[in-house]
Amino acid sequence: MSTLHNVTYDDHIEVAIAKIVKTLESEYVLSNRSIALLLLQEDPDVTEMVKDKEKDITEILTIIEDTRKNYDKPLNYIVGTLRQRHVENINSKVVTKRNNASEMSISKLDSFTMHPFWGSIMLVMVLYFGLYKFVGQFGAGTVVDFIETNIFAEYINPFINNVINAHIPWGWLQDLIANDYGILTLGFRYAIAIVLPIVGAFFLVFSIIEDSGYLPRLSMLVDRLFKCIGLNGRAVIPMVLGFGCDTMATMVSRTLETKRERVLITLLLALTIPCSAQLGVIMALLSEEPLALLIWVAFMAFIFLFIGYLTSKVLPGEGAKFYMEVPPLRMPKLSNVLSKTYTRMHWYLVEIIPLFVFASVLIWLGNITGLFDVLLKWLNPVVNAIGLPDELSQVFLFGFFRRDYGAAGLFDMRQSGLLNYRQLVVAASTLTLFVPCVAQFAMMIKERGAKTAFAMGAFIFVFSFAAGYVLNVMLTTFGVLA
Amino acid sequence: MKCNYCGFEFDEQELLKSCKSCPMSKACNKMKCPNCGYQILKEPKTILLLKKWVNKIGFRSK
Repeated sequence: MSTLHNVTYDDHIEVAIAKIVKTLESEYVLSNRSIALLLLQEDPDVTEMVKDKEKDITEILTIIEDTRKNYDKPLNYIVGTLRQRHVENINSKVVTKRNNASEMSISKLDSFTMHPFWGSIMLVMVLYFGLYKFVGQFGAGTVVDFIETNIFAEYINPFINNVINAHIPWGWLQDLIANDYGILTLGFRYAIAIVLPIVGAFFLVFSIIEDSGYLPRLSMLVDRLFKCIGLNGRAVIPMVLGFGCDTMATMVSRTLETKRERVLITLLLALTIPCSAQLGVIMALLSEEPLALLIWVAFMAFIFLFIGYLTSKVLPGEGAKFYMEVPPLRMPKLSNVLSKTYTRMHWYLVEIIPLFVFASVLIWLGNITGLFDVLLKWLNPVVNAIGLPDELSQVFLFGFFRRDYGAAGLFDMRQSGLLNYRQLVVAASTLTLFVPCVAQFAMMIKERGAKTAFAMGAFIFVFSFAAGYVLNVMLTTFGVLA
Repeated sequence: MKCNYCGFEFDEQELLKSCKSCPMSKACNKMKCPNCGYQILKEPKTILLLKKWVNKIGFRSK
């Protein structure tokens, strides 16, 4: 038999409900008490409906405002918490829980993940073992090294070059398919030998984190920090997805409540969040020298907080509220993890190969028409100003076509011993901050409008080189990584 | 189907109906949780086939 449960809230809310109920004159499908509660929770649809039906709602708005003054948290959060307490009370009377050892340890771990101190320690551990050790050292180091050196450089590329140069008499066609910038020798090599193993390792770690239920806990953990930059824990969704692909994450930013938050997150994604391949390649490049990696992480975190804080001060509007129900922490299931990793790799390969081929064709076209040389000549002085050699201009140009394509180019350059660690940190930082790739830029135009997207693009272009310049001057002055 | 982020359970088929109005729905392999907006990738056909096959074998052995 079902029983109707009337939740009794605290005195302030009950008094406010009684006052609002008295003021309501029209008929509603829901009870007047429910309408009053929804008004107190600032439900936009109900507020709109009451505005239409009632003659004057000034008194109601005053009651809501007066009630709000009694709490330091939003009213919808207070109502939600009181309701949850009521449910827990009923639950404790009818459910008996058997506490076994594994459940106890999971519940302990659960409380640690959201604790400001222990949660931060756990986050550092997840990043260290998941990203640094597994993606950076194993995926991007051991696996890429094996595929690149032992398979592509030894067998595949020489074979393709020999066959193409022997059977195709036209130089321009030979260069399109093989040699230095060919579709097969550059585009496919970047996609299969460099980017795919790194992205595969990243997706495996990401799937484990996702399947364990850690992401919502991360939202709760960073909520306070994100509030300093005008965002809240909900922004973890596009942020985390941005570490996979920033284009997809820009699209997801529409789930944020206010326009201010959406603009903020779009800028931070375009400026400071590297995509999976870029992150993996940077991890691989810098993990040989922990100090270099530490400088890159600290610099990016500083830029993220600094730009976020400044932008939140410049953009008008209030920060949005955030609370969510946290699902239980669970042991990741192997079948789920493998299936998710495969699904992501499949999606990535299907998307990346045509784009890498297209980028190779564009580069080939740029080379034979001489357009690339002109663009590179413009970029060279800027790149030199931040202490990097001419060859890096090409990496920045590639990076605009596709972020990971640029990162793979940087990886290639490091392998040939062209850069020292100081230059590598400056290049990695500037490339991370540099203008988003074509796909992300197109998404920014679609989501935020052409004016905002172009303004962001122009700001990012200038800011990335300015930040790279400052970093280079600081490292040179203090003799770090000399 | 369960959202990987918030744990919200929803009917995949119901959600796909709402995707039909999108011009990119045919080529798109993503779904968005109706509760939190987290993007979930649709399982590729190979995985679905593999799951079907494993289930069949599981039933036979019982």
